[in-house]
Amino acid sequence: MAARAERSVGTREDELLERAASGDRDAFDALIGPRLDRLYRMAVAITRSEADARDAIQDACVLAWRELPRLREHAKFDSWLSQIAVNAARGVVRKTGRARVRELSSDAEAEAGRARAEAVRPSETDTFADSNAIQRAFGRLDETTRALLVLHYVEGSPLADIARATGSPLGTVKWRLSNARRALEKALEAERR
Amino acid sequence: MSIPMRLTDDAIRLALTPAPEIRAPAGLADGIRMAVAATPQRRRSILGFAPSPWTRIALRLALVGLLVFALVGLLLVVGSKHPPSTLPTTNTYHGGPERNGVMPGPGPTGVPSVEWHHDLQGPIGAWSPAVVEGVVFVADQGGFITAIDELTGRQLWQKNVGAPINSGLTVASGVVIVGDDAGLIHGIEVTTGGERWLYRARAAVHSAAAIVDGVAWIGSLDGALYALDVQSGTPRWPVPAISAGPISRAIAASGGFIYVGSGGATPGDVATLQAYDASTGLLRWAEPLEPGNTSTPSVSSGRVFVTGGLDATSTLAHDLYAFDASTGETAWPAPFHARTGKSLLIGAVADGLVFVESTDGTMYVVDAATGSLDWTAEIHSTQAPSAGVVGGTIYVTSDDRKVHAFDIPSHQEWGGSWPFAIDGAPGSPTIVDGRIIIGTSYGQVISITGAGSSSSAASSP
Repeated sequence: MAARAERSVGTREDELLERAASGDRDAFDALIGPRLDRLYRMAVAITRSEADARDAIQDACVLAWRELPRLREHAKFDSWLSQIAVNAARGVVRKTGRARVRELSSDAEAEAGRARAEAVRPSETDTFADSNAIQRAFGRLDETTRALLVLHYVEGSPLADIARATGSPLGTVKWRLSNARRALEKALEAERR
Repeated sequence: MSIPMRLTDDAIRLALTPAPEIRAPAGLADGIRMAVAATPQRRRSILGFAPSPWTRIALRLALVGLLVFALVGLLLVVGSKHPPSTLPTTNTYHGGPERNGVMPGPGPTGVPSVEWHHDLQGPIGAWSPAVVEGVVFVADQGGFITAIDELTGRQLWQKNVGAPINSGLTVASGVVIVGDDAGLIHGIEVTTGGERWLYRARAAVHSAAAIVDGVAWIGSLDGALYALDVQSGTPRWPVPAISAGPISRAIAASGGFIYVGSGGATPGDVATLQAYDASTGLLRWAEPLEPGNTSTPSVSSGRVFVTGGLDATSTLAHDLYAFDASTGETAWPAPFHARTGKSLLIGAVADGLVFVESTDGTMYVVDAATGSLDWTAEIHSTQAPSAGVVGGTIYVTSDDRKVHAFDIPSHQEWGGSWPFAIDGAPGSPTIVDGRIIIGTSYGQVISITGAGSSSSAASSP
């Protein structure tokens, strides 16, 4: 029963992809709709700005629409779309400047962050302060390093998937992630000085 | 005193994950719908469906078979001696075998931005990437050849050839052809990056190959012009043609001729422009140039253009020459020269104009018919500026880390967000599918696209 349901979902996705690639805008809308929140949150994580994330995702979706007829393997639609969104977010960070300070600092966001911190580590009172320091340190990193950290820590993408998506050997991805983490540590030290 | 915090995976995850209540804003989906409604989709293949890789290979083989069959039939029926054809694509440095910088385009308009960048293993010099069927191929001075998806910037494969590469590469019939500083000429599989064949020259190869009828013409600093079978690397003739001096720039091809500039930066070296018959390998004509290295020849409308005196220590003005492509007769009463004592490089030849860029920071636009100066523009480059033309626009790269765009009819530089600043000194641009794709001295390939209204961004200064 479950297998049949999965096949049915897969078939519907294939149909939507086929129709969207043939110029059906409603089908494209149906494909993007359920993915929009995930893409947006990923872009927010990279850009640290809701306004920039909005621009990035709009650009990414338009680009995906334009290029969809060239996507040869429908099974790769999600990783392809994510890669375009990551590129768009990186592009926005690059354009707006690497030193941009995080904009998600409204009271509501701060309150939400505090609540999350308490939920995860109720015994550690300095977690929220540490999170803020890490976020500021993250804002000091270049767009490529940000994207790698977000893919791994926020999206939870396994290293093997990142390697496949970027076309890099697994060892290279591990090395880059280790460098990214070191860069974050250095930025964090600079923040706390 | 603050206690140093431990940077755990959980701490990073917690800090970087946006709050769960963050959702795509209500207007975003509508904005996307409107933008999509205004955006034409790329045309799908003539098959009407997206074929699998194996289907594509089979279809290509069938298509190649049909083409070969048709060509053989045509030759048998007509029995004519038409000059061999060349590939009018961006499969090599400077747009194609004629090396005139005319690009398929379209180029980006509106507000430019970096769509993606990809880190390589070494810097890229003045050469341009090749773009074939959605794949960007580039060679770097770290000795690597990299294939990258044009749309996403994702790396498809990377090949270490073992020695620095100081030239552009050429893609033809499923093979990437490039020479290295160790004097090895490599034939590499387009799809996998695997080595198909190797040929050893007697000195470093800094010359991008020109392909004519399945033969790769490529020069070496040993002065030899090698003609190698694209598929096997086998020499077309037992002995290569030998120039009077080193060949340090790309080979051009057009109308059944192969054009080669040779020279040398050492006093006493002889500099010439030579034309060879592509079907026999025999020299058709040669013309002397000023001492120094010779630029890549550029061919347009039956004329071949070249500059001399490169890399030579001289305070003399360097020259831009024009010759009849078939006979080698000089086309202008005298060569064009800028009175600055700086090197001249051909950025592009299009619309009856030669865009010649000087390392004094000026682009001189010369009438291709007469050799007289038409107009000038400041580009602020002192090393190796280059350019590409799409329609009425010339995109110029300059080593002050900028990409300029000029409207050719009005001579005006685009304003707004142009010139566009990038990281690193750019090489020569390849302009396809709304993108400018450039390698940089920082060891990156960058794809620049444009967005928004072209008229607002392309405002006059």
